[in-house]
Amino acid sequence: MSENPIEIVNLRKEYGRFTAVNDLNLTIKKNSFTGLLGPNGAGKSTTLKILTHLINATSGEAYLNGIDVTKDPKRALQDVGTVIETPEFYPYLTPRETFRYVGELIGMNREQISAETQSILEKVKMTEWQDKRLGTFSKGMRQRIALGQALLDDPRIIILDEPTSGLDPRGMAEIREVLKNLRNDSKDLTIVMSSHILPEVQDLCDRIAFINHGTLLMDDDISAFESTSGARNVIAKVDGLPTDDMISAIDSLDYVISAERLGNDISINIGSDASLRSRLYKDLAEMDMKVYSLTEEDSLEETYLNLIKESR
Amino acid sequence: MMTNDFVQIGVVAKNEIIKSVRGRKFLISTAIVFLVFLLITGLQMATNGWDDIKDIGQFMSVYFNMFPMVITLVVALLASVAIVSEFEERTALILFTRPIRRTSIFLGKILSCLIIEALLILAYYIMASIVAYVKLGTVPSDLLTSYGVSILYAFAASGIAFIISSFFKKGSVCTIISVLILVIIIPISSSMIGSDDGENWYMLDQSADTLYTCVPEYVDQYNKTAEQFKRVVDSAITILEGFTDKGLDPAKEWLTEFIQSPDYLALDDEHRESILKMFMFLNTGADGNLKVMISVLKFMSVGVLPHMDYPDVGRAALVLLAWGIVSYFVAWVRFVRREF
Repeated sequence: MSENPIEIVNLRKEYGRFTAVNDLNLTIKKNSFTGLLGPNGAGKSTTLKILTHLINATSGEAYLNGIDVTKDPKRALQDVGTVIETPEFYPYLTPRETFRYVGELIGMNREQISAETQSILEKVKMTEWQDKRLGTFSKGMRQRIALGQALLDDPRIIILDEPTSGLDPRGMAEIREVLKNLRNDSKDLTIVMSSHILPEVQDLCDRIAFINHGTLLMDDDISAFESTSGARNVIAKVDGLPTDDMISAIDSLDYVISAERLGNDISINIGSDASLRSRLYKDLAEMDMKVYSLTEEDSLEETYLNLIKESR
Repeated sequence: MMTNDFVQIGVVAKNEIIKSVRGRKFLISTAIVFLVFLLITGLQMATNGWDDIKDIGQFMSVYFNMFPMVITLVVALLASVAIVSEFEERTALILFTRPIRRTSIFLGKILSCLIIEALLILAYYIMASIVAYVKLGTVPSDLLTSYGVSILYAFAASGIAFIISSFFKKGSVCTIISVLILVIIIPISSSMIGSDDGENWYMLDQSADTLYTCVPEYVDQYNKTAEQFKRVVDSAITILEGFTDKGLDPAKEWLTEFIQSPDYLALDDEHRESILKMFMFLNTGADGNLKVMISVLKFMSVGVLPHMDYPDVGRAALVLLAWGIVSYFVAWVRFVRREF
């Protein structure tokens, strides 16, 4: 097999007549942080569960570090950390005992476990809770422990299935921060994360794989996704209501493709050149439009919705 | 480097033990074992039973007749959730995604269940041994055989609980079904098979009873009691048979003739009335009911306390081992294929 840390070949999973994963082919590049996107029922979780040996594939292959997990899961999962959905822990164990359990299972010795436990608990900001039983923890705390146990023994692959699902905004931010640090600090680490939250994917990932109906629709760098929709729409908020004069004045700027009223705001299409945003800001200020906010419409969301529409 | 399967089995077993010992079900199981012992001892002390414990036969009858049920309850509480809890409580998402064979997880769970069950059973045997020492002045060596049978029964019953645990989705359902199967369904099936002189030695409950029938003095004492009971019932049968039509026919014939004779007419009114009453009673006697009563007694004489042979402990041990191995195999087949 190739050097790609994750390689999925003609993977298929059927539940009776329903095909959850439909001959999926996907390659995850080394040291990338790939966001697995797709609507509910697209086959993201099923794919990740096959990769982590929670369910069996109907046919096809799924290689982790060159070893087919459908044939030899024990060897394939050797260098992999996972957080699938919101896992639960044995409520009568403490974080330290949980890490020791997982550490012993993957063959770490006592010294390694205890050293890594300390550094990981610091990373996920759970040091002061290390000796409390997990049964008393909030969902956010449990998810940080879940992420922590996935980091034991410094795996080269981390698989995350909606790691911030069900968390409050603070919990989400904390998990994101840990993931961001992980991405920035680790040299040899490939992360795959499924998520529904597009800003989260934009914030963390450098690549996106888009799946629907169990098939890969697009797999590229995140910038390619953002520019797929072509034009960038900028939303200008002004004091009071936008007048027709304002809109025609903006429309007359040579680089503006179109300007129109959007509720109480003005939607301005400036094409795909990102550098034009600062020029527009300057021109609007000179025209004394009393603009107090300029935001860009989410192009990833647009691409996402277009892809879903096309694949129907 | 991949971790050795045996090491992983040990790691799973160790953590399962830690997890179990801190759980509520372990607390309840321990309470059952100790309460049963205290209840039996208390009741014996409060009645004449305590003084009646004069030999090992009586001792086994008092302390171990109910023990298969205690083991069953402990097993139903501890083993019935061993597998289902991983799915129900979503802990499988951590454990199963690790580089470990499902078979290792399975074996680790069996090992931990057996260790905990063996320790709880041992606690009961130690307490019972103290009583034996106090009452009999010695700890009978047969208790060791009995302990071995108890462990094998726990092994087999846990196997059945594992099957249930690997098929169902809720832990509480698994516990209830395990109790139903082990306490009601298997014993009823066993007695139905055995009722018509059928062989039922291969049934789980029959082999479990070997944990007290393995003591010869228990069997002797049981047979003595059974013979006494049979004698009482048999004499009741003889007495009642005297009152059936067959037994009373000569008396009825004689009375019919007597009533028609001048001797009867010569009697005073009081005597005539008494003889007439006896005549009517004999003619309208509850012959049908008597026959039913006699057949019930005959059934009791043979069936309620049938003669007990000394059990074949080796065969019982093999039966328990076979029940366990087959059950664990079925549970394993399901467990390794079960998807989250």
